[in-house]
Amino acid sequence: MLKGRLKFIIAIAIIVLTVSYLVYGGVKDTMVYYLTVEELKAQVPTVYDSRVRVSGTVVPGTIIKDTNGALEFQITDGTQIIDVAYDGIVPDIFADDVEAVVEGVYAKNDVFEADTLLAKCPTKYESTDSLYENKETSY
Amino acid sequence: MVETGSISIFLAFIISIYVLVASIYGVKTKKWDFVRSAENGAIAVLFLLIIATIALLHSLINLDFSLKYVALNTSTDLAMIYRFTSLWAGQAGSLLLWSLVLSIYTAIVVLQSRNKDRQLMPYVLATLATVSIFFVGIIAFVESPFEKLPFIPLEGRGLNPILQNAYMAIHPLTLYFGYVGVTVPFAFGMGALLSGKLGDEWIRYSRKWALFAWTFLSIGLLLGARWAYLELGWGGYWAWDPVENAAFMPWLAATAFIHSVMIQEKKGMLKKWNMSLIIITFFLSIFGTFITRSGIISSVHSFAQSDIGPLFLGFIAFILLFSFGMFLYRMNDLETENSFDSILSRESAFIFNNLLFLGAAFAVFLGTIFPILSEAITGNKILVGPPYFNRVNVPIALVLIFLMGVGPLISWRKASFKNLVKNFLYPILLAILTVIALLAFGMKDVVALISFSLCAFVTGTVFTEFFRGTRVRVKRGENFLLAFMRLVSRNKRRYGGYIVHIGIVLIVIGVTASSVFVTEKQATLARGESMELRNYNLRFDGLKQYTTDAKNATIANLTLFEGGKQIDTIAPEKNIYKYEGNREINQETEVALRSTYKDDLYIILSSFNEDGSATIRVMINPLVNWIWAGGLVLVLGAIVTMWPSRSKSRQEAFIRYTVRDDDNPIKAS
Amino acid sequence: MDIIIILIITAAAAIYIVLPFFIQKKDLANETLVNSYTNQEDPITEKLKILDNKKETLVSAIRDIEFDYGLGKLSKEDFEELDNKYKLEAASVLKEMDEIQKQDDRQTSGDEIESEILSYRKTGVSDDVLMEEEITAFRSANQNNKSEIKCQKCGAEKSTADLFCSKCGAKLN
Repeated sequence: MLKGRLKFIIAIAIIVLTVSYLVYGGVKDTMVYYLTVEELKAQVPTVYDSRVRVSGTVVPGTIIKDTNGALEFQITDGTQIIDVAYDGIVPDIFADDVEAVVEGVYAKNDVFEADTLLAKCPTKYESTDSLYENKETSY
Repeated sequence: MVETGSISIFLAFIISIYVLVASIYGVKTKKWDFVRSAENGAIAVLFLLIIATIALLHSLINLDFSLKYVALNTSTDLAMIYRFTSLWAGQAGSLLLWSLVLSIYTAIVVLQSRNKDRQLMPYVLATLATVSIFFVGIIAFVESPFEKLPFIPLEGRGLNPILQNAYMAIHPLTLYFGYVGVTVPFAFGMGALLSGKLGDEWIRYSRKWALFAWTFLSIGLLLGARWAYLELGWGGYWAWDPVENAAFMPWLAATAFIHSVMIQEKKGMLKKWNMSLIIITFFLSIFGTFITRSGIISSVHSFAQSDIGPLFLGFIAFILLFSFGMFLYRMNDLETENSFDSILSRESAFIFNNLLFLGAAFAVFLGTIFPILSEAITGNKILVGPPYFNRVNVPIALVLIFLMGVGPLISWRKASFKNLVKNFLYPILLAILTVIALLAFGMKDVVALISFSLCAFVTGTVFTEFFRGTRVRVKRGENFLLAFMRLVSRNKRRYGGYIVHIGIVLIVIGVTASSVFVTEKQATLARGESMELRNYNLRFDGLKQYTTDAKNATIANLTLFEGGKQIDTIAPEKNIYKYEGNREINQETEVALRSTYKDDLYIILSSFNEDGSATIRVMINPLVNWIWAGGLVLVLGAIVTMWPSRSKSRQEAFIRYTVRDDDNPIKAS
Repeated sequence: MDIIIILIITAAAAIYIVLPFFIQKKDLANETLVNSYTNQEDPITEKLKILDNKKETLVSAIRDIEFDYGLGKLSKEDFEELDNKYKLEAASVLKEMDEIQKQDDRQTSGDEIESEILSYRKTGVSDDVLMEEEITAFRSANQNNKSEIKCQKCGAEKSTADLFCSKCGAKLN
């Protein structure tokens, strides 16, 4: 009876330890810093060639699309600006002034080479700002 | 109607408080008319929330833009069906829906258990009322669906176009049926702790609710994945996004729970475990609701940033403290009657199953809150993405699939090793054959090989179970079909569960194939040019543009060849909406999808140029439709499991057990 | 207009909620002894319920292992070991129940548990009888063919390890 219990405890311990190890290793190997543009620039040159995620607003007028669909644009957090190069699926929302999140590597030539591009609605979802535009002719 | 609606919500709040107070007072003083009154109160709350919902629907359908919620979520050009579904598109409306579903469940619990355990039920009702107080309180005082604007806009902001889609229309509903459904077993658990009735009554009464909630969480997750696949345009169906994880975590815990309660039911063990597990499941459910709403974890999905975040956190803290507090208080009374017999038993397989599911839930939880944790601890925001989640969850999943195969073959208490080996023989042979066949076919990916062979193993064990069980009956003279049907109907829980497992196997096969063997290519083509991917060939035949009332559309006309033979024409689109839907989002890419049981051809018009050339992105997703098919099988199996059985009464003179179901012949259900 | 609706709703809710205080408990009084509130707290009934629960868990466990044995997941030795263990436990539970319930006129003999399973099988649909016979056949097929006896009452072949004939319930010598 006791031996059975022991086997059991060992099995449970193995499972718990394995999962913990997987979590630990997983975090260590895949963690990505999430920076603002300013923070990114502040960490040059150590941040070059390491994988990071940066968020910022797309600077109006900077979106350039070449004939192959590759994108170049700039993002800013209000204080600093960086250049981004991206080739991949472009979210429909992506446009000037949109909040964009890019993930990739900041190359030594100061261009952020992104392999992931996400975009979010510029306004807060529950904000009523846009409704005010339709206010004038009401009542 | 608006005033009626908001007053109804307010009344519902007041009465929910009454329900809490009266049920506790009634059960403690044994004044049963207070309990009855509380029950009636719960039913009154249901009707009040129905009225409020109807009032909001009325405003939505009639586009009453004086209401903030209507103005934010509808517009004059919104189709009628989506005016209806915008009920749950925004914060306030979806919270009202949550409250409504909770009140429906509460009413059903009240009516179902009117004459059941009088010690237990009032506390169950009190718990449900507490949760109701929170949610109704929020829509009454903080985020009212009937909040008015200081002016009346001429036009509403409109519904996000990607939500104007059948899947997105019902996905939140199914998720809510699941999320809220978890509250019921939790309430029964709390009822047990509060009343001191720590036997397995609470589990028996709430078993079907747990299954029901689990089924809807599964459906909700699959619908969400299907929607993401169709609408988000990146060819995938799961991104380990915080909002996705928010639904996945309670699902993992709920899966563990529905398995471990079987042990308590049959062996009277794991009482403390089950109690803690349901508390954790409920916590994850509320936490998931919280993440989705509070914007605290930034996600491209999360649809609100608002003040209710701190309120949710407070409620979560309260729940955790109170439930675990009660749990510790009753800990000594949650004694186990039996002990383990052997490590080679169904009990241990279930316990390993539980540990793995909880391990996965913990890993996903950690990964999801990592940014918040790291920012709080180190000041830096660090996140972990799909690589982390996949790396941790894939090994766990593979072991779980193995256990899924082993479980049915092992008997309760103790399995004989010899018999085990004998029973494993054919399934293991099948698995080995599968590996050999795949290797011969050229497959090299280790994870895929393991995954497919384990799936073969599980399929082997399940089919063996069905076959052997049917054969026993056939030998007695029943024809095969009849034997099969009788077998299933006499053991619905067991064989329904097996059907669910088959559904899971199909899903795993689909996920493995479409993750490991997906291929993708992007090319810019001039008219007449072709691109090739695997054995498919796509010829670009030119762009076409047309206009409707709603949009300016650009289509790329493509002709599809397979192995040289023309098989289809495909037309992905890129649309600019003139005024339909949300005014802030007006561009929409429509994926062209060609689905077969073998694979999906997923084609997007990325961009097009003035010279008539277009950039086309093509993706081949092998076996991805097995996922959705597996989902259907899963739901079928779940329905079989929950289907009520014929009851045969046994006259017991002094004890009031009158109903039995198939697996437990002389037991109350 | 809204005001009127609101007043009606409020009144209806209020009336429904206070109703239980005015309706006399006649429906409660008519409830059988079984469903009445008052008997719930009777400690004897509580204890009996707990014991009955235990008994049912054991009965269903027995049914489970028979099913598993019939499908070949359990070896003969293991099956008999568990079978005896459960039956002993169930017998002691029943004894305890009998001691508590003095006025009870149910069977109190040691083979109550067996006949309970049997009567379930008999009142059950024929499928259970079929299953039962299959298990019997399986058992006898698995034997070493040495120790076999015939049941005196119905003539079924049982092994000497069996205490009761699983076909008709008679005690075997």
